[in-house]
Amino acid sequence: MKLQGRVEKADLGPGVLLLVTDDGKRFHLAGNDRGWKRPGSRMALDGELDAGGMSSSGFPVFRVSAFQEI
Amino acid sequence: MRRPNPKWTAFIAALALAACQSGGGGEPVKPGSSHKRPGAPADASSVRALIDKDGRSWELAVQLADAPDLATELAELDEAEPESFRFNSVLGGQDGIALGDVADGESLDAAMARLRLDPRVRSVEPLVEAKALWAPNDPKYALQWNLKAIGADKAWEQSRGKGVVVAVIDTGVAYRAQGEWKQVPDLAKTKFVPGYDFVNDTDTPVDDNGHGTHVAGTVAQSTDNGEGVAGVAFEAAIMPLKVLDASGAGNSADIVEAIRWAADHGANVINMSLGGGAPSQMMADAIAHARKKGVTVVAAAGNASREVVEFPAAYEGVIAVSATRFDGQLAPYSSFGEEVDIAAPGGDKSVDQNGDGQPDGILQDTIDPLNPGEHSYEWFQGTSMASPHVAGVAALLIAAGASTPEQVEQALFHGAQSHGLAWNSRTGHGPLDAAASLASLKGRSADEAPAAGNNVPHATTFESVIRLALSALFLGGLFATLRKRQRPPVGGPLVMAMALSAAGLFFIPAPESSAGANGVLALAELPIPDWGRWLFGNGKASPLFYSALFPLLFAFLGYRVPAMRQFAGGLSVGFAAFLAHAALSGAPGLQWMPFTFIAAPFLWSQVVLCLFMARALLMKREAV
Repeated sequence: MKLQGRVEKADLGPGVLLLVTDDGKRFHLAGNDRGWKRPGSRMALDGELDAGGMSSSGFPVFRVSAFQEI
Repeated sequence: MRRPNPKWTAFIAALALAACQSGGGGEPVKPGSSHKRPGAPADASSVRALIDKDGRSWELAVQLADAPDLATELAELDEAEPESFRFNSVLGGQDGIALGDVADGESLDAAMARLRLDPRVRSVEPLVEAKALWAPNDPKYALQWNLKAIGADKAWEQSRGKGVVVAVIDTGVAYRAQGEWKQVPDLAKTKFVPGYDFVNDTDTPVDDNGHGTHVAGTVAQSTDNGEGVAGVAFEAAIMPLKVLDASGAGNSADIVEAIRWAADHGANVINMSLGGGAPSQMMADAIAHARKKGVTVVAAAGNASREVVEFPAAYEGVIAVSATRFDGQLAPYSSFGEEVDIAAPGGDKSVDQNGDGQPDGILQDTIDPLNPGEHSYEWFQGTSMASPHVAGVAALLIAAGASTPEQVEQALFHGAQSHGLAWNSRTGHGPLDAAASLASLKGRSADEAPAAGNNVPHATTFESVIRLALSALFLGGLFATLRKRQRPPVGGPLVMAMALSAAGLFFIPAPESSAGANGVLALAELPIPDWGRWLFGNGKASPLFYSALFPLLFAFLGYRVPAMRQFAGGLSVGFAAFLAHAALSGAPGLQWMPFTFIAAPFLWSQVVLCLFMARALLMKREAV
């Protein structure tokens, strides 16, 4: 699954980042690669929506497997 | 939490609702809604005589009526009344505030009653000892507008959460040093009980994100330790349970296990500042298991600023918390909806409404995951921050004597209702109020405990009247289905049994103890279905008594004796009314029933059974 949007802080700690997609949806980003953890940058993310996932922000969990800054 | 809505009961519900409306109000009875109490006069224990430097004792405060010369007026008053008077301070000649003593052999009340008739006196009161509220010495406490907003300072005079365990199901807590992670200093004096890390499968659930440590800080930050900030229930112990990873994400299986772990390892309260994802039967079952074990479960409503409450907050049995900001309005990010139970401060960092030069977030001590080993006081915002305020107040209530999740909820909701808002989907019963919730708990336990050691919640007079009205409606309905010659006379046994089972002798004041004759009185005062709560001693509703069983036994015993048959018929009608009212007013969690959602259908099935039985018992056989 591919998503595109802006990486934003969630005000829930520096480790918590959201992707706000171009159509306004929010996803809680998860994954070990630090490369996409850059608040304010626009990213094209590849990964999976975690159906059984829960998060500290309450938004659906998107597990990032690959990324590209745009 | 979800509210039951059994559609198949529409017909009986409509009948019963009609009765409710005829009883004086169609509004559904929310838990605790009928327990509002008027403001009490000054507690006698707080009345203290002032002893001045000459050793004289003063018991009264007097406001003199306006006069050109207040000193002359005071001298006249001193002359005319048996009391002695003097101005309270050098300003007395301008503001007219004076002190008075009470004449020998006269009571305080009698002296005040007489002085109120004196035209020179505008008002008179007992001198009340003024006491500054205790404030912790944490240097950043002044920035915690959120604690003042919930009345924590007043609540701490009564309870600080001692002996209560709050499980924080989150990203872990920086409660000890582990590898590169250090304990945050403002948790150094906080009590912890063993927890578990379900993400890494270890028994050291330290935090690698910062969220869980912040949440735990709101519940029980080390307080009055001369360091940092304060927490709501700072004498409670935290049980850290890690289910979310370094990025704040986790899976439902770990959360389910953590809920069960907490319930099975002595937690009294569970806080879940997390959400999202699809509903899970496993999680609903885990929450029902926790409730059954007496655990109060609290969760964040969500941060999507939409009318959808996230799971787990939306499950039955969970207190769903929305977030407010400094001005008490719903925070712009907060989710809301029909499952919201209460609102608490979650902050709004985009504003500085209190003008302290800081963003209006929630300030607690937490780790900095970008600099392991470092800590900082961080302003966070979210329903994640609101939820632990409620969990903390739940701990204060449990430490103050609330013994079941139902009692905790009633006190929380009743405290929130004291702000005068009707239930709404944005703030639920209203804003969290620690002091009012404790007062509600105290008021209820003083007024309603019929027997020491038993927690039997008593119906209000209004509820009793509704049940009696329902009984009359049901009886009328039954008569309508009988031919005229089949109708029985409405005699003493029928009416007595109906009243005893629907309402009990509710107008008798509760006895102080359950010993001897008082035990019989305590029992007679309750409607018969509530006898189970008293007999089993744990205050919980028993499905044996909340059923048709009791009237059925009576029917078997007395079927051949007309008066007994009338009595059994009356019991059946009364039971039907009581059980219908119980189902309509939110269906209590029944003892031994693993799933709370079957309580309402169960109760309605018993109502139908009771009504059939009543018809069979009351019908005049010889007339057929």
